[in-house]
Amino acid sequence: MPTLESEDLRLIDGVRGGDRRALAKVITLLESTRPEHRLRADAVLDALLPHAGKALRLGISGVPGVGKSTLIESLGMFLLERGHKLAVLAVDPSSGVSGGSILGDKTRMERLSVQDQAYIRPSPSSGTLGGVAEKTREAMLACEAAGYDVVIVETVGVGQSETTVAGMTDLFVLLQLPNAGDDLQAMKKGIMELADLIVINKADLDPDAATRAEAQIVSALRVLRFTGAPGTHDEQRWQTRVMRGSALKGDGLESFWNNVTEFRALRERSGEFAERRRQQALTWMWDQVHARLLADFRDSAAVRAALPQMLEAVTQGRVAPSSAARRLLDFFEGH
Amino acid sequence: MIAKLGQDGHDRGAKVVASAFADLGYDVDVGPLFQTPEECARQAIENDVHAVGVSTLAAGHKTLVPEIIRALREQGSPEIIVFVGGVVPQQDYEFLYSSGVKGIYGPGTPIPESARDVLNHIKRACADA
Repeated sequence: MPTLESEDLRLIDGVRGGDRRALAKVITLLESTRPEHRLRADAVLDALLPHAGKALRLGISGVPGVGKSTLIESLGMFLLERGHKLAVLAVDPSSGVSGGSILGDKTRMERLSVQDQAYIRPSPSSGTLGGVAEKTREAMLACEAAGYDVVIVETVGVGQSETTVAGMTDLFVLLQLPNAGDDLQAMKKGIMELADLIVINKADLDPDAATRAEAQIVSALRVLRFTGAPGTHDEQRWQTRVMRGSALKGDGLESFWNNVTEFRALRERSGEFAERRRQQALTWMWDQVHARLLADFRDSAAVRAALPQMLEAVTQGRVAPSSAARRLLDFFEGH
Repeated sequence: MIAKLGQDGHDRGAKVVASAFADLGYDVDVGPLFQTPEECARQAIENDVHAVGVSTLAAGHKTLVPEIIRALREQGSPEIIVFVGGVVPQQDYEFLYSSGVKGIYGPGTPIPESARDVLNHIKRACADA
């Protein structure tokens, strides 16, 4: 068990006391890739864990420009008015070329970002695919320990298969545009089948198109999930819902939140709410094992010594990529 | 973080610098237009940035730049470095440096040069901490 340094104890107290600077520093520590930071981060996270877990975790995803940040701005103000404390973790993409990033989600949250009861943290995806950052889960726990009772994870603008956020939140919201294709698009596997709530945003721009989109998605969901067939309807089970709204105008927020509340009530009653979190904890652990193995592999002296030659051999076509991989793994395992 | 403070809506330069710094590997937070120094300091602290670059093209620098430095100090993060970019008359440089600004990059500054300078200041600040 790693031990806590006095600086970290101060940070933990700060987070628990609602100090946003301490929370910011802790999230940076969690995100840091330096080996000595990783040890400290693990210890801090262990200390915060008993105080986490009480928030409702919402994942919000959709294509770039669909209105994720704008929805969070409107929804956030709506929730603050009702006495909630809101943390937002907004992920923007990192460059695959330079590793840098432009983090601009907050510029769409001008009202929310100055509220005392809100904390908004942008993070770069740093090479993690799937629409979130590697440490989003950890950051979420830190926010919960700081007393935020709703945590929203905003993904990068995604396509059809970036579904990681569904695996770390209680409720996964997918935003759609009113004119984003027919029911065949909506039937495609991947992100659609994981959504718990689908919102056709920007319905104010073209109400007719939004109504058509809603009907098409409802129809597609019946195919995807076998819902809606006679005899399968069950009032006690949550079935993915589709609604229209306008994040910019604030239309539909009330019914959005009603859906969220109802989802939570149904899932808690059936035990699925807790079960989903238990499964997520296991997935998280395995993800960490994968990540740590990869990091250890890259840091291994034997691998580093063999790597330049192997890279050259593969690029020149002298060794097949698959056998090069096997040999590198042999070096890693010390053969 | 690249910031625009006060009534200064010229953000082309800020966008060019933000994009170029990201091309060099920086994670760049972009602030909204028309921020107050207090809002800017809060965002910088909340995002835990190493440095704030204030883009100023509307002659507000002698007022707004000392205010952001004060706001950072008052909100508990005097370690966040402040830079200035944009149009600043030469005779104001000394005033800004004495207010605590670490670097000033006027029109025509090659971006790699300013990026290296910022990185050196950040490294020094981290070593001191």
